Amino acid sequence: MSMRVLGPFVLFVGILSGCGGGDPGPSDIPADVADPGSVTAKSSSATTQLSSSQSSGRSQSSTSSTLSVLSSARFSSAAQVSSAASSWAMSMGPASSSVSSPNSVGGEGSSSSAQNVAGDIDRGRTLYDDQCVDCHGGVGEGARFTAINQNCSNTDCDDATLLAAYLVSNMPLGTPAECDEACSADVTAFMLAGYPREGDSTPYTGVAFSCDTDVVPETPAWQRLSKTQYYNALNTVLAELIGHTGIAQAVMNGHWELMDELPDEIRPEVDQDLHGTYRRLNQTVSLSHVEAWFNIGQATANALTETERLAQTVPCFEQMSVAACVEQTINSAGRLILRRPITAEDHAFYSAFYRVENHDGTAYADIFTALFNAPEFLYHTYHGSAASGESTTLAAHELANKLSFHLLDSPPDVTLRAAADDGSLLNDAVYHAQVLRLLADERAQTTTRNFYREWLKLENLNPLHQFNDTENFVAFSEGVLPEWNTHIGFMDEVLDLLDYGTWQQTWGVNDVLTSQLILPNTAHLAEIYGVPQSATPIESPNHSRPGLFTRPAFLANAGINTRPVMKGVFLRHTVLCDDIPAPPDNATDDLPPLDPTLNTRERVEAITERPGTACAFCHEALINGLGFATENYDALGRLRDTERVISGGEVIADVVVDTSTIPKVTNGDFTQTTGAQEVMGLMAESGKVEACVARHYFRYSFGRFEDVQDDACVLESMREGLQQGSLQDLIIHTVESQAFKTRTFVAGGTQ
Amino acid sequence: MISYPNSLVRRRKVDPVKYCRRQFLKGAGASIGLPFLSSLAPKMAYGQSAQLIPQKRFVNIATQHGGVFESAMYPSESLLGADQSLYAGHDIRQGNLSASQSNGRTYLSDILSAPSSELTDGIIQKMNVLRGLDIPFYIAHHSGGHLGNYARNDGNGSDGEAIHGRYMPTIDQLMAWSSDFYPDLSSITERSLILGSHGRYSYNWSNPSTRSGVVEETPHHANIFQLFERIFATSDTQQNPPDTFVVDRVIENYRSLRHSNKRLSALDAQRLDDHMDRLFELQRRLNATPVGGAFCSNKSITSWSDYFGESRAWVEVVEAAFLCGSSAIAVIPVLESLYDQNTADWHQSIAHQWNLPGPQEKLQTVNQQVFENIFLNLVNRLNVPEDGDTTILDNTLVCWTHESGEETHSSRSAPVITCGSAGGYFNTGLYMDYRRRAEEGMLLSWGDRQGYSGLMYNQWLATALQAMGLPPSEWQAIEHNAATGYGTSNTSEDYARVQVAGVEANASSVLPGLRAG
Repeated sequence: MSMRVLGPFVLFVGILSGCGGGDPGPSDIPADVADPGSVTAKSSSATTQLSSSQSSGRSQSSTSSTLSVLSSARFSSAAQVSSAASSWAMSMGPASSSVSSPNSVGGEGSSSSAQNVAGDIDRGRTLYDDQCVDCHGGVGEGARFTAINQNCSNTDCDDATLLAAYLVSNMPLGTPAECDEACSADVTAFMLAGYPREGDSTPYTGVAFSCDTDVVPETPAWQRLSKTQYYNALNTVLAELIGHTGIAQAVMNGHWELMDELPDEIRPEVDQDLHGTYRRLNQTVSLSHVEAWFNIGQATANALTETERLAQTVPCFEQMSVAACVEQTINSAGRLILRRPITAEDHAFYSAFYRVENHDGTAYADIFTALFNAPEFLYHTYHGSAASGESTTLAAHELANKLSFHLLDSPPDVTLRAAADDGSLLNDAVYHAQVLRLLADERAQTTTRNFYREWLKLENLNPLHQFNDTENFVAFSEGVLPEWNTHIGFMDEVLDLLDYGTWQQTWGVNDVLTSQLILPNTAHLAEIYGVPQSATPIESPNHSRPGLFTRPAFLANAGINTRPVMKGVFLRHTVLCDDIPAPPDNATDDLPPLDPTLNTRERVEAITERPGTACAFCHEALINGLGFATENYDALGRLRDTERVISGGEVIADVVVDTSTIPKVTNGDFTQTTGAQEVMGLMAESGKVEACVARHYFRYSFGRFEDVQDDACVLESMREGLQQGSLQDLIIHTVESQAFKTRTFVAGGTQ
Repeated sequence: MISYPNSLVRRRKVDPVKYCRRQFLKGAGASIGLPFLSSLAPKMAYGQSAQLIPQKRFVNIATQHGGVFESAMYPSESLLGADQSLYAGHDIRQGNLSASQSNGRTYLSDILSAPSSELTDGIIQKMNVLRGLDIPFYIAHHSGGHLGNYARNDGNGSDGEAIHGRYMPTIDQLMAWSSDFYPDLSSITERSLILGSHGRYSYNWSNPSTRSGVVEETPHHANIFQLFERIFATSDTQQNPPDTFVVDRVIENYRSLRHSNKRLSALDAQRLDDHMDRLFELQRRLNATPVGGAFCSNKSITSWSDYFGESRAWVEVVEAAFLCGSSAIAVIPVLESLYDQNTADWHQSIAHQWNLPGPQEKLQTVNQQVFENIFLNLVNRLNVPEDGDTTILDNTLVCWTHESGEETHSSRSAPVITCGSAGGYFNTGLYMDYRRRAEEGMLLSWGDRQGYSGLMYNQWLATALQAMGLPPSEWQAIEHNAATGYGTSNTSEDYARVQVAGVEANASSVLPGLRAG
């Protein structure tokens, strides 16, 4: 049953009133929509009581008597417990979390307060795993709910006395009776001992990755060529065989209908990223794929073997014996199409496709059809260079293929193939030179731009012009009415700036977070920035745009209201890579009444930070602080000091906006900030963004989600490359990592 | 007392097929204009030439949200008869559908209404309205839930998140790859038509033939023109399919690599197996001959100017595919927002504000339009003779499902509206109310609109599978499936509190009152 599994936090949710899950909707929708009522769009799970056996496992050991002081007072709220516990702690002297024995906290030798909070670590582990782990994670890092340290403003998580007091009165959330004094002491002991578990590795803290070279990460199944890669591979083969790029392109153009039948790549919405991850992770191979590949391959083969092209594509035709010409064709075309050296088995296999009954070029068509449908053409096939072992380096041609497709979405060119064929590519210096050569290719900019687009979810920005004819939006826009493609201009500005920073400058993460450059290359952007149009980056006026996340692409919303929750979620999840638990079942979409005295921030706070709701945990700790920092920009991305409250097409009030927040960029950091510049500064200082970008680029590069433990070595190399260098260095560190150059055979065994 | 059938599929024996009519499919605007000749009739199946029964067909129209007040969605409760005991403590009700007329329109309810010329008594008597089918836990944005893959939800809520990893094939795909559903594939060019501009409704194993690999989305056909081309084989390649020799050798290439001494992981090997499976299917598909033959290869559809037009085009393609025998399964997802282009964030502004007057009005308007333009349009088009007095519709199960009941994202009492008897499998013309209408059946913490619990949606899915010829033995053992019914088992505490024992225990049985005979 779900409730049993989901743990105590959810039990609490069941007895709470609903809380808001999102930003206010556009207020230019009909008045009856904009004027909220009491809306509960999601249901609540039931309350239940854990059975007595579930709360057992605790020992009535000698420690229980030491908690008698606390047992006399059950606190009804966090504030109360904090206050009461503090008073108690003061009377008892300073608390201590020292561990006096391998398996206890607060035993002999501890401070006076600790003597009252003695607990057993092993019992605490059992209790924690039973009652806490679902919400807080195995090491308090957060799971369904926030990291434990993230909310230590209510109590000092390093103080055994205060922590035990907090636990006994508040945890499990909603059913604190399930964890009595002894239980709380045991859990405290376990937590303050650092959540010890046999065989545990160092927990990931969001910054550095802990590399264990003995770990062999899993290599996913061979990935298919993306639609772009397939097109480029086919085009490359045609151009080389025909010897004329223009003709090759014409042949490709003739196949557009067939190519159109190849399914478009979509950004998969996966459990780890419900708003869509990288297209490269979409590895579905449907009947439509196979059918389109077959048809395109056949059509291309027919085009290659037309009489007028035969002299180019099969130059030995009628110059050699059939057997010799077939062999030569397989040697040359096969090497190109299969992207690996040709073997005797290949000759035997593909020569059987020769149509002996035909006496013209069409006799070769089926050979090409077969080659274009070979696994080596349609998939990235890596066998590795070693016959045994869990991990093996890629063969030279495999490495060439992987590098070229990764950086250029295209197969290796002549130079790279040559380096693979003579084996020199396996030399680090040669490989490095090839990496730099490929990075100078403009196609590398395209693939990197694709990464940025998908990482930053820029495609999720909707068109902004739907409300142009509504009175509220007209009043809001003050003449800056978006067009159908305004949002595309917003996206392109960010991508162009990242292109500029990556390829013309040496931008690192700090530059992304702090740069004041804007690129007002459209009329709308110029209007929004209040500057003349410019085709090149310029400094923002009055340095009002700290970091790229203050560009309109990240601020705009189709409507007249900003969406601070979504802005906060984006920064927390996509830029800092912190997990955000799912909203509780009874989260609602209540919209507080439109109030001329309230700005959007205050309306959102009223929904999401309602005292006594589980919502406040995540919204206060993870979401709102980041989102409120950019409330000095409106829903078109324009700078503002006040927010205009609009109703009935009229501005009914101007309310001052407030960008002061405690963004809690890192666990336990309660630094007060005044706005976006300081928040971006904290993000830059935290080191978390470099780690997050590394994780994202890992996904893009390896076609799968990372395991922060198993993939720690390559992630750390990538992070260091970014931290010590630039965005280009991130790419270089990635493709020069051992992980990139190897494959493993740990998943499901070796065939 | 309603009987509660436990029998499995009994194949109906019918007379040899007769075709004697020439018909024209009706096309409004974007007409396909497909004349129907007796010689073009779908191939009959099931072996014995003298004892054929028609190919059954299945259509699911899946609305993204729902959120329509029950008072507008369902017919009047006055149609329902007295309480009848289903299980101890769980009574249900049954009634016959009956409509009212006003100003040229016929009403079963506000939503189930249309011009009287379309919503005829004949159609009504082929419909069933099922009320009180619940996914008994909180699951939001569950596009996969319509057809049984509850894991395809957005994790918005603890229950939904809890089953994220438990992906299951959807029932349309179980049918598509079952020889019980398709005993004869000789005319089937598309095992299933997954339509619409957005996907995530239909799922299957990466290797359906062996039921192995990962469960992944079945690609949808976003481009209706391309789908039309595929069905009716007008492209050069399809008119001149590759000869068997080449395809066979290509398959052999994969097989030889699969079994070579080159290093492969198990996942790599699965890749090759999956690819070969697709090639086998391609080979089968290329050899399939739609009943309409040359005639069916000379169709065209015109473009449309709005979403209604596109919706009608989907319906026309399904109709044509069914009548030409090219396919017998269709899934038609419906994004309500596309019917209302003037609301930017329809999901937040309308669906989530379901209980405010303005949004509720829009929800009702759109869902009525879906009923009229898609559901009713399709069933009327399929209501053409196939076998004596029975029509293609009679041999079809068309079902319209919603993500939500009357509260957006609450899966309590999500409506299921059907038409067609699935080849005589179902009684029709019924209004079934499966809710446990007693204080003990009242859910306490089920969102803003509390209500009575009912039977499990899993049982509806199991019913549909059996109606289409797939006995429980074909799907009961699928990984992550429930012990009973079809779909992952995950019952919230609130539901567990109010459910009587028989509800879950009998979820693999056909829903009460529906089984004919």
